[in-house]
Amino acid sequence: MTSERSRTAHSESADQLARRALDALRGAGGACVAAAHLDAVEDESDRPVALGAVRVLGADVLAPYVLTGQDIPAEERDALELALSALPPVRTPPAAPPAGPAPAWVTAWVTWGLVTAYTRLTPTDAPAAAAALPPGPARCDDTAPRRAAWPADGGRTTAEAAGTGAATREGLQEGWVTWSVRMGQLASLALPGLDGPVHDAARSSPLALARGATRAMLRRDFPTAARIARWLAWLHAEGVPLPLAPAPLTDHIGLHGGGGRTDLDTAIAHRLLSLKPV
Amino acid sequence: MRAETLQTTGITLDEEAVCLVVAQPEAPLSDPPIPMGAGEGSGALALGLGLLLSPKEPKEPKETKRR
Repeated sequence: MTSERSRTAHSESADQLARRALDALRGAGGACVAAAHLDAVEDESDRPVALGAVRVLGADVLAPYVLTGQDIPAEERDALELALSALPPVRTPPAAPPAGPAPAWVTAWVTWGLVTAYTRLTPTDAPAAAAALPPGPARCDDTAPRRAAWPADGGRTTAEAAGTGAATREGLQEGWVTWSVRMGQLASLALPGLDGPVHDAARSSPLALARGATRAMLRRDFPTAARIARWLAWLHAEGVPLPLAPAPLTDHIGLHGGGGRTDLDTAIAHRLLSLKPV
Repeated sequence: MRAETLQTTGITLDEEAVCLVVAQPEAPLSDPPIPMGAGEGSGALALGLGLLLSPKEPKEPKETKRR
């Protein structure tokens, strides 16, 4: 059982790392993000937490390179390799929630995003670690009660019906509240160059994302709003018609702020909104 | 959840802490008072937020009266 102290330390370290990524994105800091974060560690006992922060941010560590076209410095590659080898990607990712454990499944996706973005940025020097593609998210039913989660066939999940014991994405549907919050947890995947089942889910449910962002704004939960708004910005860059305008929403979230990770989400959303629709 | 630490490269990461921070839940706040049924004010709330967030449409210039 992890301690609250460890959790807080990881959260604070991730926030500091996000600020480094934000500085690099704005051209205000150095060219390195993860390497600079590890170099700043004064006590060696804090190094695992700093490496854990790299895994928490996932592909967001690489956002400055993805969005500006900068090359990744060699020391940055070393830092990423260290973070990946210290906690190798799982070989068999868990089933998607609500059938499987949400934290482990979200982490598997965030790791997939980090490895995939890293591989795309360094095609001739692929990372040592490979990440298996996790199962896609449950489908969102826009007409369902907002917190609903049930098997799509009305009684059993597809996997239960097949006797495999693990639910598949075809077998589950969720209401928009739970679904949009979970998509927000996967916001580090909303980057150019990444595409997969999570992105397909975002394309298929812009209304649920708009509802989720609106709800988060009404609750004044700006970190969640920033994460979901980032998906809306990503859809905008893809040319997907949206039920609300993402630019004023992102501007409004940016006025409130909410820590390093939220500021980074907002800055990335602004960058995505400035991209021409595909 | 599996509480496990891995020691490869001689560095120990707290996998469970990483997972919990990655899957950061939404803030523990009460939901906004959006009624579920139609005709209970939900339309007004949605319209209000829609007006706040929708892009402004350019207005036609007013005709000036000439005396």
